Amino acid sequence: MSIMKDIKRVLLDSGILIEREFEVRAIVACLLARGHALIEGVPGVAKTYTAKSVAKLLNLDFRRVQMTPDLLPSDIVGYYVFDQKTGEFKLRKGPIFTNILLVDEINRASPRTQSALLEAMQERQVTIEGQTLKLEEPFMVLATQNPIEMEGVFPLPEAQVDRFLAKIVTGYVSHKGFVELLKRVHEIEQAIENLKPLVPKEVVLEEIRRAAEVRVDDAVLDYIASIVEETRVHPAVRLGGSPRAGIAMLKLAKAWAYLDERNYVIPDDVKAVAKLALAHRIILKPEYEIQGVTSERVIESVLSKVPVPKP
Amino acid sequence: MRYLTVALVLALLVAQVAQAELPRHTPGFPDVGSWQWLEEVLRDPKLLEALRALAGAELSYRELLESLIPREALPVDEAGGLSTPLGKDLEDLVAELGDPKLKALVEGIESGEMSQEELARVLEYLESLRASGALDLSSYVAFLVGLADTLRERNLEVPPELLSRLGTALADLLNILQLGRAPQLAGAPTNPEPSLPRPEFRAPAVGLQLPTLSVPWLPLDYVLVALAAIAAVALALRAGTPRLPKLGLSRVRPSTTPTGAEEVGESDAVRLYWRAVELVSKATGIPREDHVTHREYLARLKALATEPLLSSFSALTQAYELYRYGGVRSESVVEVARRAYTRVVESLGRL
Repeated sequence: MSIMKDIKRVLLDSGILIEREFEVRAIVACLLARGHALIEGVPGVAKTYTAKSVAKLLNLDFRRVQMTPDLLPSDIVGYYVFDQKTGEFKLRKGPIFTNILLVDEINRASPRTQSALLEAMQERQVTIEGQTLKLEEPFMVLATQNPIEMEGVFPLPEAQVDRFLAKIVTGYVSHKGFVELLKRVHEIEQAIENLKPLVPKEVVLEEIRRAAEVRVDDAVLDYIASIVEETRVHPAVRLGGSPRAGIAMLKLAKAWAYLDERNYVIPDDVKAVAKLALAHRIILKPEYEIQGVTSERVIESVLSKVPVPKP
Repeated sequence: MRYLTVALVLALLVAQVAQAELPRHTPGFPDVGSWQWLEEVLRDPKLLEALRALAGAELSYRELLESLIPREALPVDEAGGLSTPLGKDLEDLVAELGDPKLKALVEGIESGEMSQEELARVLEYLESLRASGALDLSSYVAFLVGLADTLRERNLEVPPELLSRLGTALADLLNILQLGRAPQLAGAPTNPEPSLPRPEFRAPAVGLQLPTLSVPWLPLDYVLVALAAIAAVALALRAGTPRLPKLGLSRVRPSTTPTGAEEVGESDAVRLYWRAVELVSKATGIPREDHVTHREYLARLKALATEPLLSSFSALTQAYELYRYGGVRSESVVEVARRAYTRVVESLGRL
C-alpha cells in the first residue's frame, strides 16, 4: 500500500491538495485497476492540479496534452517522417507513448482526435499507418473536462466515455478549505511545482498485480450484477449499465479494497465505487433529466433497493 | 381430566406459537424467534419456579436445568462448558474459583444462617465477578443454581431476585446453546435441503411429572403456559426433531435458504452474527435493512449504542467479515465470534 500512503502523506497530509482525498484515492484506484479516469468539474476546482500532482509523484513517464479543436490525431499518437539522411521513414512517437497521459480538457478536441484515444485506451496499443505498437505498462489516461461550457466543445460520445473506468466528479472545497487555500496559495503552487517522484515503477506494477488478486466472494459478484441489472429497469433510465459497467465496478471494488489494506472485497467497496463506475455509463430519460434527476441520484436509489448479500 | 386439559392447552399454545412465528420474521434475517417463548418463561422468576414445582416438587434447580437444556446433545465446548460447572456443588465451585471474598460471603449459607441482605451481597458480588470477566456465563449459571439448591436444602427461602438472575442468565446461555446446534443458517431463499444436520435432542434426564395444580399463589394462566411448555418440550424431545418446525422451536426456514448457504450454512461466525443483529436490532430499535452493509450497520450503532455492547458487536462484525468475505474459515475466527457473541448477549442482558 505504499502508493496511497506516500501520496496521502505528500499531497493530502501536508495540505498541498485540500479536501481532495476522495479524488486522489479514486485516481490511484483506477491506476491499480488498470483503467483510465475522467475527472469532471467546473473550471478552477483543481482538476488538473490533482491529476498532475498524483502523476508527478509516481516515478513513471508522464506527458500532458492540452486539447484544442485543431489538434490532430497524429499530434497524439505520432507519425512517420522521412529521414533524408537514411532515406527511410522514421516513427516519431506522439505523447501517447507514456505511462500516464494527462489529457487536459478532452472535450475541446474534435471527435476525430478524441477517437484516436479509443484504441489506445481499450486495447493498450496504437496503430500508425498500419503498424501496431504496444503501449508500455502501466498505461493510464487521466482526462479532465468541463461539463458547463457548450461552445467550442465536443461532448464525448457514449463509446468514448465508456472507455473510462471511472468518472470522478469534483466540486468546490468547503468554506474552511477555501480560506486555507487562499492563505497558502503561493506555498501550494510552489510545492506542486517542486514535487519529485516517490514511487518506483516496479512498486506500481507490483501493486497492480496484487490488487488484481484481491478475493471476491460469489455473493459480492451477485451483488454487483444485481446493481447493474437494477439500473436497467429503473424508471428514470433510458440506457442502464452494460456488462462492461459491471466489470468496471468489480475492478474498482478490488482496488478500493486493496487501498483499504484488505485482500477481499466487501459490499461497502462496491457501494463506494458504484457512482465512479456507473454514473457516466447511465443515460437518463430526457423527461427526468429536465426535472433535475441525475445519474448519481439514480445510483443512490438503486443502492437503496438492492439487498446486500445475506447471510 | 388433567391430561385432557394439558393436551388442550398444548394444542392451543402450539397453534399460537406457530402462528406468531411468521409475522415476526424479517425476510432475509435468520429466523430467531423459536426459543423466545421459552426465554420469556425463564426470565420470569415466578414461571421458573412454577416450572420447577410443576415438574416435580422435589426437583432441584440443577435437575430442572438439566431437563430444560438438551446439553448432552451438545459437544462440551459448544455448550459453553456448562456441563462441567453444573456437575459441581456450591462448595466445590467456590473452592475452585479461589476467591476469598466469595468464600467468606457464602459461609453463612453452609451454616444455614444467612439474611436476605447477606444473600443480596453474594448475588451482587457474583454479578460483579461476571461483569469483570472472572466468571464466565456458564460458571455464573452454575453458581446461581448451586446457591439456589443449597438454600433449598437448608430450608431457606430462595429469593425472587436470585431466581430472576438465574432465569436471565439461563436464557442468555440458552441462546448460545441453541445457536451452537442450530441446524442451518436461516433467512435465505432457496435451499429446502433437509440434508443439513439437525440437532439430536435426547430425552431429559429427569422424567417430567404431569402437573398438580396445587400452587395457590400462581395465576392459572401462568400455570397453564408453564405446563404446556414442559409438555411441549417433553413431547418434542421424545418424538424427535421433525416436529420442531411445527412447534416453532427450530430456527430453520427451509424455504428461505441463502445463496451460497451450502458453503457457509454451518458457519458459527456467520450465524452468530445474524443472530446478534436480530437481538441488537430488537434491543436498540435500530433495524438492519436489507440494503445496509455490516459496516454501515455498525456505524449506525456507534451513534447510539454504548459500551460494552459496541465493542463486542464490533468484534463480532469483524469476525463475520473475515469469515464471510475474507474466506478465513479458521477455528480462531469462529472462536472470536463466539466470545464476542457471548459478550453481546451479556451486554444486552444488562440493558
